[in-house]
This record gives sequence, C-alpha cells and structure tokens, in this order.
Amino acid sequence: MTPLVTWRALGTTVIVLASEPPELPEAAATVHRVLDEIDHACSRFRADSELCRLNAAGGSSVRVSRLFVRATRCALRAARLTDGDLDPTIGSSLRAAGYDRDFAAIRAGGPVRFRRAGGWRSVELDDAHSTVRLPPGVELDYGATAKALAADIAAEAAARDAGGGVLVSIGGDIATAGTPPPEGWPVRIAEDHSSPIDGPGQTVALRGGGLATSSTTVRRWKRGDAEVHHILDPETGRPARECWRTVSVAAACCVDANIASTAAIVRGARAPGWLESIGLPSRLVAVDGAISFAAGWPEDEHSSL
Amino acid sequence: MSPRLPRSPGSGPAEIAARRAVMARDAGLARISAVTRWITAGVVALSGALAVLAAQAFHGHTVSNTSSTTPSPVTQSAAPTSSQGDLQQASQAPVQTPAAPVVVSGGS
Repeated sequence: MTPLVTWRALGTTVIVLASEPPELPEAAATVHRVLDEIDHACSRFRADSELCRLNAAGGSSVRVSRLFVRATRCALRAARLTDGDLDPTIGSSLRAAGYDRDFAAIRAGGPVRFRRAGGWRSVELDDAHSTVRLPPGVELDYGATAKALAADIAAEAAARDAGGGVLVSIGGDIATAGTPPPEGWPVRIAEDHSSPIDGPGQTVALRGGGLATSSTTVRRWKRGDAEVHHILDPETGRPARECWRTVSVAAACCVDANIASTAAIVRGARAPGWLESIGLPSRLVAVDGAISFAAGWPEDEHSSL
Repeated sequence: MSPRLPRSPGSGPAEIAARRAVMARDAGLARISAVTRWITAGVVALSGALAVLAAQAFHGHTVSNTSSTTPSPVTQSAAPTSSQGDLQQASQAPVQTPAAPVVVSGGS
C-alpha cells in the first residue's frame, strides 16, 4: 500500500502522496502551509478571510494579498474561458440557495430562493496595487477554482521542497508535480471522492498535470420542498440542470481540469462537443448512468459507476 | 498733478467739482487695473518656477492604468502569467491501468 498522509481542510479531505516515501512528511508539511494560506485568503466561511472582508466592503476597494490576487485572476480567467458558466460572483446566489455556512453545518431551513450571479465583469481587480472592488451587493465565492488552485500550488511547492514526485488531492481534485512513479499515479474515478478505493469506477494512470471530477451527486441539501445541489448556473442562480451527474477531466493542471469539469456540468448537452474541441480528455456520466468519453479519455467497456 | 479742467461758459463750481471727481475715479481704476495685471503675471511666473523646481526635485514613477471610472474586464488588468491563456492539455493523457488505485477522484 502506498504511504500517504491525509487530513481535513477546506471543508473536505486532503491526501498527499510522494513517490519517495521518506519525503512524504516534508511534502505534507508544505501542503499544510499552503492550504492554511489559501483558507485564510479565500474561505467564504471564516469571517477573517480576505474574501469575507471583500464581500462585506460595501463597494469599497480593498487591499488584498498577492495570493488573493492570484486566486482572483484564476477565478476570472475561468469565467472568461467558459463565457461565464463559471462565475466567481456566485456567492450571493449560493447564500440565497441556503449554502450559507460550511456544508457540514447546513440544516433544513426556509424555502429556497434563487438569485442570479452578480456578473464577473463587475469585479475590478487592480493587479498593480493589489486591490479588488466589488459593486455593493455582489459577493464572491471561489469554491469552483480555489481548491484546484490550492492543489496546484501545494503540489508544486511540495515537490520543490521535498524532491521527487508528489500528488495532492483536495476533495478529489488532483494535482501532480515532480517525477511521477514509473507507471504513473493510479487514480480511481468515482462519483464521490470519499468512495472506497476499491469501489465502483474506472482506474486510470496519471503521468502528470491535474485531474478533477465535478458531480451533482454530492453536496446536496433540502430547503422547503426543493432539493438543491451546489453547482449553480450563474445565469439563473438555480442548480444546473442535470444532464451529466458526474464529469471527470484531465488537463495540464488541476485548475484547468476543474474549470472544464464544472463548466461541463453547467453546459449540459453541449459539454461533449466543447470538451472535444478544446482537447481535454473527459469522462461524462449521464443522469441515467450511461458513460461517455471525449478527447482521448481511455474507454473502458467494463467501467462501472 | 491734478488734471486741468476746461472752462466752459456757464460751468459753475459744482459742475467742475463733479468732473474732477469723475477723472479722479477713472485714474484710480486705471492704477488698480495695472496693479492687477502685474500681480497676475507675477503669480503665473512664480507657478512656472515652482513647477520646474518640483519636477527636478521629485523623480516620477509609472502608474499602472488598471483602474478607471468605468469598470473594465479585469482580465485586462491581470498581470500575465503562464495560466492566462486557454485551457491547457496535459503532456500525456491518462491511460487505463490494471494497477491498484492509490487515490479517488470524485465529486466533493
């Protein structure tokens, strides 16, 4: 069994693997440090985070850290590349829909409300002066990209500090750096990152870059009579219509994989053609369980959910 | 020197006094106008001299034009990084493997 270090952070499970087991403790320590910094910058659920401070600024410009600038650039790039299917101004939409605290603490409440995203083009980032300004009432949520960015930064830093190859998984969003094992990193593709490692799914070897899976089967909650999942369509503020329940994508880094997998859920029937056109290997599970592959993802006739 | 007033037949002392007052007023206004012109010229010259002095004393720096009164697409103001372009493919696509998995990728 491959040695690993695991703990909980950013509201999910973190796993660190190293190709050279003696380097694992140092790699894990580096990942710990990076995740602490990301959490302090980008958490929507801790009042002292930079993101919460900005959301509460009421239209004023706020000076932020370089890490927050980077996370903001990342989120806005995701919005631009997906024509707004991922939108960092989805914060108030998530809050209105009832996702207003750490997911583990969400309880059944009053009727759900839907509110479209504030619009990513309204975010004013002054890179040179490290300031960000939001129009009053607009709230950010970097959930779609911050975890993936954390995985990428952490894997790079850990590989640099510890040497050898490193794999970092944050809630199933995976980044690799350094020299991988000779046969690659064997990764089980499933609907839920907390599934047993020998549970249903397909196993692929990852030789570099990142891999992300987005799914509507996790982080669901009830408000009134409505059952809601966490991937909202920014255009409407409603949960994305479920054409695909799970999408996995491989890319050069975890951020790019995550952007594509999350946008594919929002794009629905248009997703396979889009993924094919941008050449990102993908595995899509339809609501009825049928599995499709795009852009060179290894097809496995025996693959199950 | 007081101006000489032309004497005309029938002009009385009251009229002469009134004319003198008018001429005195005109002369005063002319002096005020001249003083104002000199003061204005002096202020302009002093401002120019101070501007030259300040420009020589403090070296300038470039200010990034990243914000404006009209919100612009922020990607324009983002510093270029390796990840500003299109979504990037991995150098190698994942391949099917019979190996035992070490980690699970799934929704969270």
